[in-house]
Amino acid sequence: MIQANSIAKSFSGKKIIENLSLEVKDEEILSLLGPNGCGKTTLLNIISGLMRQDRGHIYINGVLVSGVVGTRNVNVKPSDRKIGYVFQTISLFPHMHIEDNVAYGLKALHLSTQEVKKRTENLLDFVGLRDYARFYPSQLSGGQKQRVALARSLATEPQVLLLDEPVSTVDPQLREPFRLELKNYLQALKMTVIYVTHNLSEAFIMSDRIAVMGNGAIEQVGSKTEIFDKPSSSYVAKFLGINAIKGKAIKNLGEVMEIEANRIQLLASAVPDLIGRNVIVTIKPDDIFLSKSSASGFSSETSNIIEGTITELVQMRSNTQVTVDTGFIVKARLPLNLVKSESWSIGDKVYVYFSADSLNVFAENSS
Amino acid sequence: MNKKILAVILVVIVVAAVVLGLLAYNGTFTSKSKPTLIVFAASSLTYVIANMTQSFENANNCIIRVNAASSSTLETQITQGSPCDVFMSANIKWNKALNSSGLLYQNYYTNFTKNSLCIILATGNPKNITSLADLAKPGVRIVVADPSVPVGEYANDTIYNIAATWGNSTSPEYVTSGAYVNYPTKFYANVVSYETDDENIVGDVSLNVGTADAGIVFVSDWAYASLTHETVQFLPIPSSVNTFKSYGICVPSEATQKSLAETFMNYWLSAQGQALLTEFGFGS
Amino acid sequence: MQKILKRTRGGSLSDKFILVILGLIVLTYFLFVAIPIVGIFLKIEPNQVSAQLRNSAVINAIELSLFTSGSATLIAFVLAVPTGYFMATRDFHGKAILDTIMDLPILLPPAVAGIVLLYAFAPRGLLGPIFNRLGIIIPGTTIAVIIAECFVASPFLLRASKTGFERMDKDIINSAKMLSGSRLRVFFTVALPLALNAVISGTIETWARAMGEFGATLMFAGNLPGITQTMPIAIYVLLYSNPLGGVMLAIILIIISFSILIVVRLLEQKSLRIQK
Repeated sequence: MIQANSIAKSFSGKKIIENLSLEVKDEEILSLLGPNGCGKTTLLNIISGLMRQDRGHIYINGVLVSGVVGTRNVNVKPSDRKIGYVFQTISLFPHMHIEDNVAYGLKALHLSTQEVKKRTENLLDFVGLRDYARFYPSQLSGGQKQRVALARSLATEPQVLLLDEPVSTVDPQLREPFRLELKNYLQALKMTVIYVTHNLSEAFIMSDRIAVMGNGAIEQVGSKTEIFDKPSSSYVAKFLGINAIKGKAIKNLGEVMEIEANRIQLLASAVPDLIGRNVIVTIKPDDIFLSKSSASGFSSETSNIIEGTITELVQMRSNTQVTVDTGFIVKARLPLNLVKSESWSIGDKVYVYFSADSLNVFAENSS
Repeated sequence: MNKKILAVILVVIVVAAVVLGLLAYNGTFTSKSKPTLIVFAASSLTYVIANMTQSFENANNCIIRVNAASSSTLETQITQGSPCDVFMSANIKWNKALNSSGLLYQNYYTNFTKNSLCIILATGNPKNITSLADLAKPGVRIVVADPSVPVGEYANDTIYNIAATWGNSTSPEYVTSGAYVNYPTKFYANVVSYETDDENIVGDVSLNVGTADAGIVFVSDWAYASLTHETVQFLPIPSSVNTFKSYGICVPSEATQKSLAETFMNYWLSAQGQALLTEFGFGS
Repeated sequence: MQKILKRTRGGSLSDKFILVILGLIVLTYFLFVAIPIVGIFLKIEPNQVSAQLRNSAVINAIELSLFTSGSATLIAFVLAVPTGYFMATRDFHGKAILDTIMDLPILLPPAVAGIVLLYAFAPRGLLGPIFNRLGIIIPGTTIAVIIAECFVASPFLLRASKTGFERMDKDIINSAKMLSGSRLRVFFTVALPLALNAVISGTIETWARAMGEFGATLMFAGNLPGITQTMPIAIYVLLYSNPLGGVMLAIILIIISFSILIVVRLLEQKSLRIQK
């Protein structure tokens, strides 16, 4: 279990982390998700002890490892914190054999030569690289190197594992299989893991819970569905690629409520507390339907139908991202064949459809 | 075979060098049974001193160590306290300076010989230089010492003496051909290098590689050069314009071998020492 | 067909031209360095060689140079490598000033370096009284030579190791820190090996500078044959009085330096090749 309380850290006057609190449950894999430069690595460095925070406390399994309590100034050495850390860049010792890399942490424990040999072999077996023991890191592929890095970090039998974008050094085509392999390892280990990534889908695949980081703190923590369906701030929404629109909840119509955004009326599932307040409305791109015709089977009492103009068409691997300007900007995702068969192009007029209950609404100042 | 081995090999090489050195220098570091006399001498005196070292060491049961450098360097070293028993300088002004700083034994220093200048010529005298006036002719390559060094300072004095004596129409020794009018200008126009040591000048001229046709050095430099190379031709400079500088000798107050130092100093002041000096071109 | 293939394979005319120019530049530079060195070897008179090698002044100078430069390099290593590590891995106020001060010996003309050493360590210098009370006199001894050589040459090692340590991949060092609590162990097993290339180059430069040191040694240690007369000083003294001896000594200096340098270079190459 990892607990970070009210962590703050600045570099040369610039605030990187400000009042950040995070709890990672026992044996869970938590993804720390955020754009590059938001301070994820800094947080890992603080938790691991390689860096000291300006304010705040870090607890591992209930024990204070870093922070000031009264007159006690605690700062446990990184190697004493029982933490395994796999870095973003390849950080194997280039001048040592693979087996010496893995055994590095073991040597510090003053074990017998046989014990060291046995444990090293076990660890290499675990990551399936026993045959590569006498190789040098330069002779391994990116994925193999990271497996060794994992084995190396496990040598000291840590209770917590920190992984900083571990697949970034792997060949893009091999990333998917590597991720799955990595997930198998992590699940087999049953350890508390923080998995840092800036890639949304990766976070979804690898972890049980996701913590979205931004503006120097944790914006939202929750399961995949919680984050995606109910982003609690416009930051999270934007990061997840979910449409976020500013508006004001005007009146309650029973099951739905009316929201005005950019002089357009929207209908969303009613939340009485929000009436009269400024709100943020989020809609997942997948919940948006586009059609060139105005008749499409959506009921006008529980749906929103708005006219707009296509401003952008971006072809992806399995779908097309369509951006429509309806007075506010909406991004939708459509299957490839639909766009092709209807030969849509920029400047076309379309109708945008989404049902009232696909909207997620929260007060503007709530996060 | 990797970097570790490379590093170990390097360490072995270095340690080996150090150990070998220590073995070789065992003699130097252990205290000697014989007293050591440390002599600081101007470079120009190196050879005349080398000529008497053996016999002095035998006669007085001591070891002589000579530190040869420019007189100004030696004076700096003595001022800062470098160990020295006898200081023999190419210009008595350095001995005087030490005395003014109160650094001399019994506040004593004295002149023990003189040196004057002469012109040395490249082998075969390619530019056919037969008089000092020839040095002012265009196309002649001359090497002198930098004025910051004694032999350069004296050379400069001599050049200006020549101008004042033979090149000045108001002077009784004015050379009517006018060959010496504006002598310094013409002379220095031919200087191709300002050396910092007399030996460089001898070298430049005698190495015979076309660097220089003539140079101004101490008579003692010429004398030694002619002992070691094929005879080097020289052109004497008349005493009426020549520069004579006094060589000074003294014993620093912190000398550890004061009586031995005085014996050494007295040798140079004796008839025997003076004769040796004359043999090497000093004195006149 | 043939013509087209030739053109596309070799590149355009201007490319070839540049290659030729480059070749000429390399050749010129090589000759610039090689000709004077070859020239001095041609001055050997074979029948004189053994006589000169038995000349005590020559032998003393060789032994003295090897001993002092080796010692100076060793001391420089012990002082400069840890300092380089310290400066590369720590940030503190006044770091730039410290950096510049430590670089100064390189900028001083050797004779000036000699004078400042006198002002500091001679009996009447700044630290003179302390040494006097301990009965130690430094100028005029072989130790003074080692000090002078170390003073002017160690900045090379400091610069090289500082750069070497700065270029270390921080993540590799951090990995080591996560696995081992001993700073010393991390330094010797990970940091130093990572910077080893730079440190080795720096050591070679330092040793070469120490071997060639003249002005500071002359001023601080003096010119005492057998005690402080290193090879460069001896060559200078001999060159005009005993040109043959001077030339011999210069050739020996070149041969010794060349041998040591080539052995180190070859070993370096070999270890690099293995690691690839």
